[in-house]
Amino acid sequence: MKKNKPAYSRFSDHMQLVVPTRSKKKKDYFAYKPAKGWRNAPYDCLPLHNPPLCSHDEAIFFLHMASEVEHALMIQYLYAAFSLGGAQVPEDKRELVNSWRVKIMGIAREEMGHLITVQNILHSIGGPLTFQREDFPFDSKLYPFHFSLERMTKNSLAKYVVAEMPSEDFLKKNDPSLLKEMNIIKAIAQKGNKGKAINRVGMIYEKIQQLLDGVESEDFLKDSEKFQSPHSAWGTNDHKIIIETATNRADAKAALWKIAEQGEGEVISMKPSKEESHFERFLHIYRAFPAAGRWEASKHVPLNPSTNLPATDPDPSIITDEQALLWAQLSNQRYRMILLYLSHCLQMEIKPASFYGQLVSWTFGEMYNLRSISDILTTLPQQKGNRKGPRAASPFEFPYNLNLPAREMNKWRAHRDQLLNSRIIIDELLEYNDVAHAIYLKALRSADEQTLSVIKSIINQ
Amino acid sequence: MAIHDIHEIRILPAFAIARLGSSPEPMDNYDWEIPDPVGFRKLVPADTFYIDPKTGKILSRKKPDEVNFRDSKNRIKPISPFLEAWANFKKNGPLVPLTQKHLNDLGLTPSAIKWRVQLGNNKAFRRTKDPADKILADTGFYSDFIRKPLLGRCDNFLKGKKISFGFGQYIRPTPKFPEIRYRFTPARGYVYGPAPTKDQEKSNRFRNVLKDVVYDTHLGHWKGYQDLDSDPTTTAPASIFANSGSDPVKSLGYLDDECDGILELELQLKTKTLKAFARIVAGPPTFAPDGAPVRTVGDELEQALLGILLNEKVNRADIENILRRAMETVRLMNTTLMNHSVGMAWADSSQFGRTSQPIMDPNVVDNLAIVSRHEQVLLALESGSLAWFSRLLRHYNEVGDLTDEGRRKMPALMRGADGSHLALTRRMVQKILEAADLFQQHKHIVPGRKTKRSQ
Repeated sequence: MKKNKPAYSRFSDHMQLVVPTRSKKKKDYFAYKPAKGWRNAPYDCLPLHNPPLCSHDEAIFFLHMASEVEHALMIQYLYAAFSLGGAQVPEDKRELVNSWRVKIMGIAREEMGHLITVQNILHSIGGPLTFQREDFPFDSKLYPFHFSLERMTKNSLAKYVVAEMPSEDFLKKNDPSLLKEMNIIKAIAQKGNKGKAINRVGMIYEKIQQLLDGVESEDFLKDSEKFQSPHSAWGTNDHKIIIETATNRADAKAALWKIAEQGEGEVISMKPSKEESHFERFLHIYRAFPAAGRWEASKHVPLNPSTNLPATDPDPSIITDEQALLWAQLSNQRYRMILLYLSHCLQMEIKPASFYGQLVSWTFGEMYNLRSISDILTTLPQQKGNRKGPRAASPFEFPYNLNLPAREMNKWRAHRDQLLNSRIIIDELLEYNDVAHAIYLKALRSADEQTLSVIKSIINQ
Repeated sequence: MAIHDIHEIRILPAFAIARLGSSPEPMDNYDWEIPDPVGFRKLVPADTFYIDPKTGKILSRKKPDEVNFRDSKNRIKPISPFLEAWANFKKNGPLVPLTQKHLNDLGLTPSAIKWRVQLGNNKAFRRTKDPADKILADTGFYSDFIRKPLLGRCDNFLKGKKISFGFGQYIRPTPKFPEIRYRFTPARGYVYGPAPTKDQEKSNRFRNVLKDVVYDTHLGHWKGYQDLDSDPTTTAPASIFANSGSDPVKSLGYLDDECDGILELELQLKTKTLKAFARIVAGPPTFAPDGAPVRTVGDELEQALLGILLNEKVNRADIENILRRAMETVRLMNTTLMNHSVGMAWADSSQFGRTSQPIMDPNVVDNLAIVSRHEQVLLALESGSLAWFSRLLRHYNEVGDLTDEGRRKMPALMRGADGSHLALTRRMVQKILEAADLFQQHKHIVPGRKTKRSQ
């Protein structure tokens, strides 16, 4: 029976927390005791679906959650990275700030790799893929922190450091002084998360590792490989981007372990020659990041920007400058395009002449476009009539849905529609005498025309 | 204003490339236009001089209706560059085109200008190292306006035999076109060689190839020549000449009418003789004239002249040019095939013993997808957000990196002159790295004013 608890998210509606009993049956997660309450559960609680699901279904449930977390982290990191820089950064700090931007963009790219790996594991056990993302704000014991698009500050960085940290047990054993430092950072992070403790993302992966042990061997599908996206297609030749495929339990668990070690896992590698984990990269930036009141490393972009029409009361999150609003809408449109291209090509059988390569190229193209548009937005004013006020930013508003039509040809029609939607906004933007961006807009429209012609030829095949 | 002296003369351009063609009509001028920022270049007609072959005078200057690389008989029109004399009239003065009027001011006529063309085709000599295999043409100094045949002579040719490298012509200045110019028209693109064997005479493949039998196999050893592994001066890969195809690979003794050399100019003044020279070269026609390779001789020359480091600010147009050339190059590649069985994919395993594997993921190298990826890169450049691009580049010291990661660096699937994977010049890479740094700097801009759209 469901417990009486507040409805925080699609996932938390279906869950309860349990306290690990550390029983003899270590692999049997049903051995855990339900925790008292939801909000006040101990830190080390593990989540469960309530009522319990069979292992296969619950593994899919948690993989979906992992996918949404990776998606949400990626967007929040991108938003924070785009906010870095600007004319207010002292001349002698610009190189440093730029290096932070590059590092965080790198982490966001790696989160994209994690997201694709999770989809591959979903393929491997025959689960449906997901590209959803929870809308903000919501509370959950599993999600690391309230989804919040905010400029990079010492406090927001504290949240990222804590979310990506290894377990306290690991730090206690391997680096007690770091644990001491982390306790201070955790307190700061909690303040930036409406007073709520930050959850370690690694908990979800630890749970999935356990659940995969309970999945029947025959549910790991050998023939799923032809649907799984390899690193060679998506990794842009960057070995830091982890994209793993799996057709058996051992490979699936190894893939998750790799993701966890790079990002959000219980442990981090202690080898001197290893690549820095996300936690370490964030921690290094955090230590060097200026505290409030000193110099400013990021632009004043809004908290959770929105393109919704303003209510009667002024809302600091809404973009009201007309031109910036159009750019923000264009950003939303291109974000939708990325998700639809990604959704389409990650669900298709990968083979030459399947247009898989074309979809991969277009997905990358839209990532470049989103970056370009986000950069442009942070140079534009957010508020109408306040040109020197805060800057606008990409709102990353989630589309009303991401469902692709069932028939293949209609999927291409959906892509065609997105390009036509985009053209409407571009044409509106081109009516502004904005010399600085007219060339980009015309080039974007021209590239879209070329994409449209390919899509039309596919539809008319 | 009348001049009293010439301080210095030059021939510009200092380096001109002609292209072979069998048509008697030289190619009209054309320009590259970029109608679409992420699309391909378009060729558009440009002002062209039309010369009277007999008098050497420029008859007219006009823009042709269309760009056409072949004449009415489908023959390829040769690219025949003009080279101009420029002068400055005092030390550190500006260089300006030298005209008949300037010569008149000094009491001279255009005949005071003397030209000399020396050309050579040393392809056989480069291999055999026999100086008697050099094919050389020399007009000696002259100053008339008639076409001068450029006839290549060679000690190892049969008696009286020559290879035509085309002709040169001093363009007669006129009141309407008073500048001092020279035009080099290259040869027609023929193949010459030794007498075919009886077997070869029976085969169309050999019988129709030769324009003329010029090479004396009793004198020279170009026919039957073999590259030796022990010779460090051979090309990599070796044996890139017309050959028997058998092992060992032996030369058929063929020669072509490509050439390169020097155009000299001399002007005798009362107290001094002024001299200048330019380099000229004749190469094969281009069959993709609306694009350029990603790495060209121009890039090599720029690096040789200016060095590997940039002493000036990177020019955005340069970066766009490099990226556009990359897109134009990849457009012409069968990326699907080149990814696994030919070119570098083949060479890595056959020459270096690497495990045979595709270079890229075969599922994403479809040509349309690759061209579209390049378009997107150009698009990213338009918005100034190309910072990430530099990390994909192959550096000069990574051309032999045959790891998966090394083989996938850009430019991919292409071979450099040393037989290894192609890298851009160090100067080109430096430009892209510096541009990436610049793209990281963001400035506030004022939004545009609304003009057409109703409020």
